[in-house]
Amino acid sequence: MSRRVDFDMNVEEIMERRRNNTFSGEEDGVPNEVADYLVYFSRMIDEQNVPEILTLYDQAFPDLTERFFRDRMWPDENVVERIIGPGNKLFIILYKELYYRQLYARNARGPLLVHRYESFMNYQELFSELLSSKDPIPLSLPNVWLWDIIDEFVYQFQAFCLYKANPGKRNADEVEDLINIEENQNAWNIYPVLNILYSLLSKSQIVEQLKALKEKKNPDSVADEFGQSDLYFKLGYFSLIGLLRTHVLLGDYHQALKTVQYVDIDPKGIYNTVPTCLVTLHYFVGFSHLMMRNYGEATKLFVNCLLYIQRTKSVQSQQPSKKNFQYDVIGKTWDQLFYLLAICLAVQPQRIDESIASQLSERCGERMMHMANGNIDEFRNAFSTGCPKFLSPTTVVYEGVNQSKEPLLRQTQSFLEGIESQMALPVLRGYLKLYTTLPTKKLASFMDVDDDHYDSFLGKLLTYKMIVNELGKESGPSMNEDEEPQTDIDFYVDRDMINIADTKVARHVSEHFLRHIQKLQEVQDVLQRLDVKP
Amino acid sequence: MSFDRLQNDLHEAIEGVNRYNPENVNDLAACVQAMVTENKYDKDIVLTILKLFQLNPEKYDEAVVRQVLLKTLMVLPSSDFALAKCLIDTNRLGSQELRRIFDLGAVLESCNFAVFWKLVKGTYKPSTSPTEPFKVPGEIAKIIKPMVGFEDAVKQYVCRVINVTFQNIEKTLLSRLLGGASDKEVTALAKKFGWEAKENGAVFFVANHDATIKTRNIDEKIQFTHVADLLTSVQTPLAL
Repeated sequence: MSRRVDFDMNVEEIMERRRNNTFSGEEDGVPNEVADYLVYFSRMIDEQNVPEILTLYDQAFPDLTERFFRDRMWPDENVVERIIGPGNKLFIILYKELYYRQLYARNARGPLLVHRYESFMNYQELFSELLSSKDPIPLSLPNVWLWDIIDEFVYQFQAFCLYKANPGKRNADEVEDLINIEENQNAWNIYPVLNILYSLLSKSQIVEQLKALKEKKNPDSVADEFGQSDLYFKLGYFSLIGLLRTHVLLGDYHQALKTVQYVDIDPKGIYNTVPTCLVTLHYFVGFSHLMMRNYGEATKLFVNCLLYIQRTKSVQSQQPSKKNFQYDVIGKTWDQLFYLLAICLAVQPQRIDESIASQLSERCGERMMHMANGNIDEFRNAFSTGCPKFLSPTTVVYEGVNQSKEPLLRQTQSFLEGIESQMALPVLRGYLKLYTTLPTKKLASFMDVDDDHYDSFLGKLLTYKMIVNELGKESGPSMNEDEEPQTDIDFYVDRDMINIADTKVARHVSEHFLRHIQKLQEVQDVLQRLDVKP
Repeated sequence: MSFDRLQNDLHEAIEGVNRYNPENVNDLAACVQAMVTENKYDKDIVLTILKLFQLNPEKYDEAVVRQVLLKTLMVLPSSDFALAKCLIDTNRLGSQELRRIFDLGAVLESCNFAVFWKLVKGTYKPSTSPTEPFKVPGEIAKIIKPMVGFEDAVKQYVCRVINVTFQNIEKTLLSRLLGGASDKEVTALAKKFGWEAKENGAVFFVANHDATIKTRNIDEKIQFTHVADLLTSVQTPLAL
């Protein structure tokens, strides 16, 4: 089903008629349609026509890629410049951003070092246009594109760190170039990367503005003309989430949460307008809570994110064109979230949305049972499948073994050390479930604890309550009085008697009936329309 | 310089991207030292210096890292110790001294106060198991000695977890969990946490958990609004 365009002899004439310039389509092998697209695209960027730009970016670009550039790359910047004419520096930079993104997405083994380098240089150029301008630059881009720029920037930084640590990823020629780059620290070094992201924050005064919004003040009162510009405000906002991700990749969870402390998780946040941004925010905030052992908080975020993906799945899958060459972030995160959720619920069982719960038990039911029985390997597997690709920005390996997995192993290890100290919890829960009151000594004897170790045994009860009450959380438990308890089982100790309370939840059946009544009605509708001959 | 001064100056110095300025390492280390001697704490400062050690391996100073880890243990049940561990690279873990603090952390994180106090008081008997973490138990007392207020910090931690676990607790048990604390000390801590002495001081009433931790059955409640749509669209059944 090749839909590649054949060039007929008139191409040049048509091009001449359309645009009075010196461009030769035939020579450069750029189909008409693509050339027209580029010209129109640059004009729309010039005119700041956001709805048009959105279509050109979100639909036309993947569509043209599918039709003309399945087996080769989009034209390079020189060709594009000839097509659209000179004096469009900003458009060329934006075009190159898309171009390199394609290069990254197309190579399963990752792009060549030279492309990684050039892509960084292009980002630097883009951000310095934005940051060193005296006035806000006249540019309007759709939210999704702004987010993609920040997200891709962080992704390429991550990719470079993994590339540096893995000698198997490069050929002999590249080694020397890499030594050079590392000596000069001029591409994808942690310092310039952080510098760019933080500069976007301070240029847009985004933190101050979000803080003002939270305090119900006018954000304009704390913002200059940059902060008040839509472009800078949004770039700053998305940079917060880009930084959140960067901090998590570096194992810096406290800093990660601090970065987004003023980003409200509510339906009005800008992140709602970009699905991958919403998913990224929930995943990384939830993951940070998991590492800080706030399992309740993490569970809430993971479940909400899964519900969101589930709700929008039908919409997402209606856009198959987006799939080509584009990494399926949402699909991948969907799988990871289940593993992380399984960990949270194994340590601290809670009631969650029923549709998610049933999918979870289908996917990870057996795993969760093993985890509840204290199988550390099962925790390790779930963690390493569900966690992000951690990185060490200082690791460069010129020869020898691949060390790109080292940071992952380190984070896994410190996570598991935490789990080990909570390992008695599922076992305790198993016993407590069977009683309404139980003397501590009797429980100790069930668990083969002798008198000498009785006080150590009490520690397990204390740990249980410490985790369930989320004492580690800075703000303290947020539970309201009338809120239903989320845990299935709780207890307190009165002298030497454990008093156990369990919460039984009746099955929710109304959803089920509602669905079936609706179905019945639909069937009736069909039946009534049928023209049945006697 | 005192902790308060250092803390003030540093908070400005580590704002935004300046958090990553390697030049701050010395001041940060001085501030950590001040925390140790003045019994103070600042989460941002301790985590920042660990991050800088990661990004600037040539500046790494294990003595400071050990101090940081011990300081984070003093703010349990906060997760700061767990957070700090995530900021130490694998190649640093060969150090025995560091390992020892990790093992101490594991004891405290699992609320195993009995073992902790034995370690502190030198009454701990190491097992012969090859995985025994405290083969030379005397080391632990040495490690925490320079940390001003360490034992008091653990006592606060003990009281906080008791607070959420116990309704009434016998004084003898309370005293044991507090490392054999004297009557006077137990009474002072109980007062601080608002626990009431009963039965001539043999028992402390901690909190009325009875009122909040109850067996419950939650039934489904259907709101009218949930079914309103359906009710308005109901048709007459098919006439067959």
